[in-house]
Amino acid sequence: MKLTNFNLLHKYICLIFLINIISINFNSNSVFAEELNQNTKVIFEKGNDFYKKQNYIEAINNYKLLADNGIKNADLFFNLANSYYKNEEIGLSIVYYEKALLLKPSDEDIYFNLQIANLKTVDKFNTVEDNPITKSINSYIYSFHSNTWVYFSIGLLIFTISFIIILLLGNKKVRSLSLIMSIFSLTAFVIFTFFAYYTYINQTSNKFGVLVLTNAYVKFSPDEKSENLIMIHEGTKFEIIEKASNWIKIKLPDGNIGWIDYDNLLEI
Amino acid sequence: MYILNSPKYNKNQTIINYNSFSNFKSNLYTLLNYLLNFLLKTRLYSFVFVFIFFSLFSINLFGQQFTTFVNPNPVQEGELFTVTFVLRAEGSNFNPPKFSNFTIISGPSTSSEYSFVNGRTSRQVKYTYTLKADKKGEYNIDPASVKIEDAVIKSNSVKVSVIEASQAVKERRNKEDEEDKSLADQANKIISDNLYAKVFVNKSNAIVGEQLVATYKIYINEQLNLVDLSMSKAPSFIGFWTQSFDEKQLNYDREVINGSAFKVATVKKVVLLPQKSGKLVIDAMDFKSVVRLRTTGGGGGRRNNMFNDFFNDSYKDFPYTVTTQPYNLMVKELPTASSNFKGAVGEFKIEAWVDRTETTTNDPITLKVKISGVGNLKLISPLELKLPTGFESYEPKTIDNIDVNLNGMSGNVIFEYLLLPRNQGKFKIEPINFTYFNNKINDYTDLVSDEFIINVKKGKASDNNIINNSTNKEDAKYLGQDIRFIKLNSKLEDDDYFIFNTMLHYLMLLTPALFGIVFAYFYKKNILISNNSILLKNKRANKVALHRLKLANNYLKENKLELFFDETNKALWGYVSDKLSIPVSELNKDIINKKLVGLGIKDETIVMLITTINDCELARYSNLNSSKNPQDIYLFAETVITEIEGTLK
Repeated sequence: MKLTNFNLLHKYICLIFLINIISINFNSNSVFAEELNQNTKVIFEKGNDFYKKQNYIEAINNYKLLADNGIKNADLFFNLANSYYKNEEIGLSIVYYEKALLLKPSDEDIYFNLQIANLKTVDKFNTVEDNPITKSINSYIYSFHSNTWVYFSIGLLIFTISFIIILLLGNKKVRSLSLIMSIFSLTAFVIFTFFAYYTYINQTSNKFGVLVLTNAYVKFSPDEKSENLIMIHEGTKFEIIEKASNWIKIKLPDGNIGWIDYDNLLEI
Repeated sequence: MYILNSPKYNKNQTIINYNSFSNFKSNLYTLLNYLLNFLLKTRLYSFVFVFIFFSLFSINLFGQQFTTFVNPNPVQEGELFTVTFVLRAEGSNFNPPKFSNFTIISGPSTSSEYSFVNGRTSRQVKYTYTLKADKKGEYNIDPASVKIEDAVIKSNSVKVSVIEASQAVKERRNKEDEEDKSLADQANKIISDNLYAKVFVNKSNAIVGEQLVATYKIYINEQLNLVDLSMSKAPSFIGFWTQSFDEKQLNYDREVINGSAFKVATVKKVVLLPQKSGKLVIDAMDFKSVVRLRTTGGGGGRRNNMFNDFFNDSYKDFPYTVTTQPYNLMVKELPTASSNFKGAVGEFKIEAWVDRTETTTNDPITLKVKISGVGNLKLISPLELKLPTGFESYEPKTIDNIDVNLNGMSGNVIFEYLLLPRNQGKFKIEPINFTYFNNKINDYTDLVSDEFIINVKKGKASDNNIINNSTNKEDAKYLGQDIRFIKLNSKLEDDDYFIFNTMLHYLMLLTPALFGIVFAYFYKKNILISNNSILLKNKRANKVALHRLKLANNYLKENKLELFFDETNKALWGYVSDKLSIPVSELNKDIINKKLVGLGIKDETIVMLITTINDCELARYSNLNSSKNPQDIYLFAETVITEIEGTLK
């Protein structure tokens, strides 16, 4: 008996130690990032000041400098998108709102401003309606960051294991309950891991593009002389299916598939 | 008019109507009449009979089916001549040449006749043109073509030489022209006194935006024989807003002017609003008229021939253009005005009202502004509203109820504004200012409407009555909203960091799993260890007990009874303790009884065990010689152990 207790204690210590190592790793990462951002912070603040003074072109210049230097931050993209919106460049503003939303899907401000920017677009497609249930489930899943789902799943894994331990140690009454709980949380763990994967794919693969020109023709085939399928206007978001040299195969919100010149669009 | 065999000879005939050529009927008789007349007039009548004879029989003489004749040839410059195409067959699709060097006076006039030659009947069709030789020179009359039974037949081409007019012809023509001119001058003079049009404007000076009425009237002397009257040019009004009232039917009034009776009609009335200052022209209006005047002989002896001077008097129609004088209007600039002035000139009243003062958010209210009065109502643009924040307005609807009559414009204009409250609370709609130029007092007048207090209560979110067609309900809540402000405080961390599929992710997955595995391992090991010690004791219980019993048996043989009982007792207790995995200190006979029953040991065996233990203890502690034989006790103990061992196996 005494031996068992010792082992358990030992194990707990080990776990705490491990968690410490992870968190140290984590902290060191963010410390590094912060150092990197010390220079950029000044430019960011400058952009903010220009925005406050309603000098949106200068604000764009500052934010864009950061964005072009590889800083991928939802707040930066959001501010840049706001500046573009105020400067009447709706296509570009939508690109950056979408980019920001990918990085921070749960941010309500981004979602709100994106909706307003979308109101300014010309094209109103009749979207091919998904099953409303799958649609709402999808939107629910996408409203969380992939990392959030990872944390959820890890939490559930811990739950599962805790219940298994209770199952082993506990008496008969606790056992049946903890068995059910462990099965339940194990299932949830699997599902949440899948969600994490699902959102990870969605957030990291450039599946969508936005038209940034005032208007452009979508063609039937990747050829300048090809027949026009439809004319789309600035700010229209579409799915990117395939890339062929300078032409991109896209799927419009209404389900139509056509080709568009790569120069016309920006990928999200 | 032209009667050939007129017996009367009148040398005072002067007026000849050349235009009456066009009234020719297409029959041979009139054609011949005309030709004869023409020839007589031009003193070439000696040719006429030759021509008639020639034209009648020429076809047969030349044996051609389609022939061109020109008469006379040569022709004097400025004189008329005829070109005749004679077709001696049934033909269709007559196609004349272009008489490019001549002026066509009349034609083609077609005539047909039948001729009998050698007992055969043949039909003959003539297409006749009357041309005027404009210039001296040699010209070709190109052939005409006609279709005869699917074949296109061409006539011959004829050379026409136009020679210089003879002195006599020139003189005559000059004289004719002079006569015509003097006649026309006379006629114009007479007509202008008896037929004229005037424009009346009710004001000679106006201000920009002030209303004017221009009236066009036509005056016709009752004595005048007016053949035709029509408007030829409608006036254009540059720099004015206009509303015209054209008379559908002219209603003539009688008026006496300078002692003669005139018919007077209003042709057009126009309401004019000057749009700019300076000199503006109210345009002239033109009428085309034809007046028939009686002409009497004037002494020209040249045309004295027996045919023309038949009448003493004759009538001639003179074309005459009636035109009004353009009217110059000086339009004065308005005095500099306040910013509220939007060009309204006249006399107005303002009235404003809302359909209700209590509403809920997103439930629109209607504000109507009515401007009524006299003036340029049509030119009033919707008034600007000063709306409190939280109100949206749409393009106002303009309802005109304007009566444009000759007194000007009167009535009212209603501007209907749809106001959409977005926020909850009490709001004041500022009074609406309307400034107009009062042309009666020559100054600006400011009008102010009432102000309104609108109480907006909170409405249901679904109460969105105003939803743009292009936006769905979901979007409607974003309508009219500004974007949210930028994020000022940001750590600017790299958000493009995904744990999924990283080492950290696997570490996080492995840690609890590893923890579980390690725990399970140690847990199982512990159970094994503790299970083993018990099992060992259990297994060894029989051996230990039998070993003790052997020792006890030795004591019995040595007759050391006290030790024998002690050993037997220990052997039994120890055995039971090991078997039940209960320490000896915690054992008593009741527990033994219970546990053994639970293990399925026979009651007899248990009783035997308990009795043997009792006997041992009694013998040992009381030092009494028990009734029972120690040998028996030994046997009992041995039997009990064997029995239990057998049952538990």
